[in-house]
Amino acid sequence: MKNGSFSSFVAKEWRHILRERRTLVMLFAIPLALVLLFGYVISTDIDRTPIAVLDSSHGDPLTRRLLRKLTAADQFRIVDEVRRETDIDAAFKKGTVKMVVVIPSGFGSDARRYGGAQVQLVTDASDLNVATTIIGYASGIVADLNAELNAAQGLSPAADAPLRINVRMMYNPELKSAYMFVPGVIAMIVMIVAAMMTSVTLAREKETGTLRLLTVSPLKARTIVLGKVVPYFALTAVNTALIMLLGTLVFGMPCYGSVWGVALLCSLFILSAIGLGILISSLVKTQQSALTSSLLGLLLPTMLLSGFIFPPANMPVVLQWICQAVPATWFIEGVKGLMLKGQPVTDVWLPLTVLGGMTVLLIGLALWMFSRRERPQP
Amino acid sequence: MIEAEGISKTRGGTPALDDVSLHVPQGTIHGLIGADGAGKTTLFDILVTLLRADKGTAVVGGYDTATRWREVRKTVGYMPAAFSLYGDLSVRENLEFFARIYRQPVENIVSLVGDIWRQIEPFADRPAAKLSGGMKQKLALCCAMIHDPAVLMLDEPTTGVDPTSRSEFWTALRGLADRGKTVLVSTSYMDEAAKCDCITLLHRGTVLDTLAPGQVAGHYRGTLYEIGAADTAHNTRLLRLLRGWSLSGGCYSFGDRIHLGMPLPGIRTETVVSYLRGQGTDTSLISVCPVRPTVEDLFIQLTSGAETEDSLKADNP
Amino acid sequence: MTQEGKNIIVQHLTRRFGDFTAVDDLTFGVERGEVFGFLGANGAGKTTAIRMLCGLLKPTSGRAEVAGYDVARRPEQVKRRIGYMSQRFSLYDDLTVGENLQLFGTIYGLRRAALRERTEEMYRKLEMEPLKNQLVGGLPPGWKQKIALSAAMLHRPEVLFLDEPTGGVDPLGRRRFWELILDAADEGTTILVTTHYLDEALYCNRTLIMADGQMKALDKPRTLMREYGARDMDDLFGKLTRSTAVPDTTAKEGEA
Repeated sequence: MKNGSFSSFVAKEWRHILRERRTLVMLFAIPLALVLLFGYVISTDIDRTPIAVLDSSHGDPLTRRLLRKLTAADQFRIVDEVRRETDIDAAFKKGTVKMVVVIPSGFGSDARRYGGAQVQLVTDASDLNVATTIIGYASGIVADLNAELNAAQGLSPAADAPLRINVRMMYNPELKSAYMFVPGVIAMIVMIVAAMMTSVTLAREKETGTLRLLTVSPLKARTIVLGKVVPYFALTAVNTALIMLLGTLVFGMPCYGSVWGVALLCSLFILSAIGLGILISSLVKTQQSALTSSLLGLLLPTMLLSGFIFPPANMPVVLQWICQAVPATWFIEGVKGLMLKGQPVTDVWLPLTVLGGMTVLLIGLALWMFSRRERPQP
Repeated sequence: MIEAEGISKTRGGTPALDDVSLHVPQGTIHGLIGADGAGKTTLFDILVTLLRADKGTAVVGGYDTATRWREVRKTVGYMPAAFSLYGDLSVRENLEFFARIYRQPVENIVSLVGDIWRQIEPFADRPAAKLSGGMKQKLALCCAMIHDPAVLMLDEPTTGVDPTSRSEFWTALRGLADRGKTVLVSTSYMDEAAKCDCITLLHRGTVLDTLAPGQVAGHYRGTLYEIGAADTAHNTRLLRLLRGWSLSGGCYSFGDRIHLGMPLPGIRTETVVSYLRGQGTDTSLISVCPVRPTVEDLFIQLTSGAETEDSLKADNP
Repeated sequence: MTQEGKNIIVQHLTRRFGDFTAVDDLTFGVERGEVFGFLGANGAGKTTAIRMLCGLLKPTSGRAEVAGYDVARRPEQVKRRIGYMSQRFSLYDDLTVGENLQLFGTIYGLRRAALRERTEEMYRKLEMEPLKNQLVGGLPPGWKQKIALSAAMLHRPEVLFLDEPTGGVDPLGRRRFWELILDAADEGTTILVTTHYLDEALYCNRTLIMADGQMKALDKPRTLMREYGARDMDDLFGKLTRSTAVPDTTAKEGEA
């Protein structure tokens, strides 16, 4: 009859969760709001985007034709002129331009003579989404021009392009995707729901004395621990799935890799977070300290040390080590690999193994801590 | 049914219990009387096997609390000091939850504590947090009784509960004892001592005395006098006079009266009256008569010798 | 003041929460320097009545004057002139005795010099000078209560409300605590006290017994016992409240 007491414990947990209406609403409203916020901040509409030109061809007719074409459709307007290669950085830092079009000397003659000239499009990729969109539009316009040039020569539009595009992204060498906000928000929500709420509810049982009653009852410590894991796992999993759906369906986040791999990754991450929550609750006495410990000890590192906001590569070595110990680091890396890079599950074995190891370790430790409390305390 | 021998326990560097012994036969109510910080909760923690004693042995329901704690837990129904049920669950849900973790049919409650259950049944669908103090304690008792334990351990079940509900609660306890349950109950209300079969006075971790409530007068040293002034405004002066008296064994206001302990034998009412007259008091407006000491008087007598940092001599000039 | 010498005047005081009448047409007066007991089961309306008298809750009808000010119209004036102490909340455990007293003194607007003088006086009176730098959390309950009382009296309130002040204290501690209360009354402080220890009602000059929001009796405790032929306060309380006590009303009262 072990199932009887286990299921009634889980049922009790569900009642606690469902009766706190306000908390429940927040749990679903907050991720929704965060995703919408992040999603819309990434604007993908471009209109009259300010650009600058570095013209080394000194007014070659082809250059003038290209620039006319670029500004003809109102998508770009030239607001600045850059004289030297080294001034490109300064132009971006002024914040007035989003792209610099670099035209080499001998542009027109190269195109005519050798059937190929290079136009370089330099963008500020700190906002990767905007940068890729701009490049997309600009490339389209260059392609049009290529077709026109070929037609004038009596060639087919599909013939070799006289103008070739060279794209250079500045300020984001790793090409960190704007879609990283999706795993970032998931990591935060998992910490709030799985870790913080688990630790607070367990601390509440301590504070109100119900844990004393449970301890002297025939209920096993593992039933109590697993009875907390199951409902909070379910709650967090639903929440995670919701954010994923929102990210992919509404904001077009790609998922190139295996959906099951992503599900496995999420599950391991959630379980490790619950393990952390239970561990915290075994160390504190009150709900208040459970709350502050999870906020400072879990939520903050998840935001700051997971690569969500700051890339670990730029951090001091010690902080980089700490980053490695934060489960969210591995989760975000795994999501990046599976969903954005489209790596096969076998290629993200490292994040999966680390998260799996953390899960076993943390839940095991939590079980051990609680089982130790089962017997009379010295 | 409860046999504790020489229990000592140190908590956080300070002794919480020092050589405490307790013997509670089956079917009786044993009261643990003491203030906050007397060590009542620590003793309960040891007897319900949440804590291990540093020294001494405790056997509950025939099982040693140190080695057979699993069996002890099945034998004991426990009510911790604070309200320890789920406030967001209804009365019925709380009861059902405890029934299921003890693997008992919830209907058993009617045969076990039907009289108490009937009192809270009208509120079965109300969240436990919204019950009155007395009702909460009755629900907690029902939950503690759901597995039909032979021994009940109730830590301050009546604290903060109003007098009417308190007396109802005691009636319920008596009913359980009559049906053979062994009840250990702690309280800081001295007047509840009278409802126990036997009481242990606990003060700062040590047992002051163990006795039946009827034996209080016999355990009191000397005679207790009650002094009443027609005008209570005189009480402060009377207290000062009596406290300065070398024969006095402690003197405290007791409501509008003054209780004066005279520990030496051979003191008569006249001795007190003439002392007061000698101090210039108009004794025609004052009544002095010997009274039966209460548990509280005994408690004061037993603790006043040992007072240390609690001492207070505010009325000394 | 409408009635000479009275520090609390209550006339037809009523408070309803929806359909539920927590306090029903209460009328009484308390003299300056009187110790006035307020007895009743949980949910009888004591807490609601006290909250109105402290200016925390507006009466539905009727009026009350505390320390010369109408509680509904001048609650700020009332709050400045009263002290409140309860067993449940009184002090910050993680502050020292001195810090607690300083905090409560400052809350009541005592100037630095006055605060120092009053604090020194309390230390002297309760002989707690050596405890001044100790954390309140580690003190025995009897001491906590005395310090809480000192904190409530630091600003020399005209009226002192004590809500179950002596729970959990040993008998000796309770006696001494009551002697402090009686001393304060001798010095002219008006005291309104609720308690679950019925024998403590005998310390009061007069006792009001409430049930179902209504006043059931009001007189000297011994007079009441005689009148109702009661053996002791317990018996009296039972006779006056048992027939009508409805224990499940606390929630409404507590929440409102």
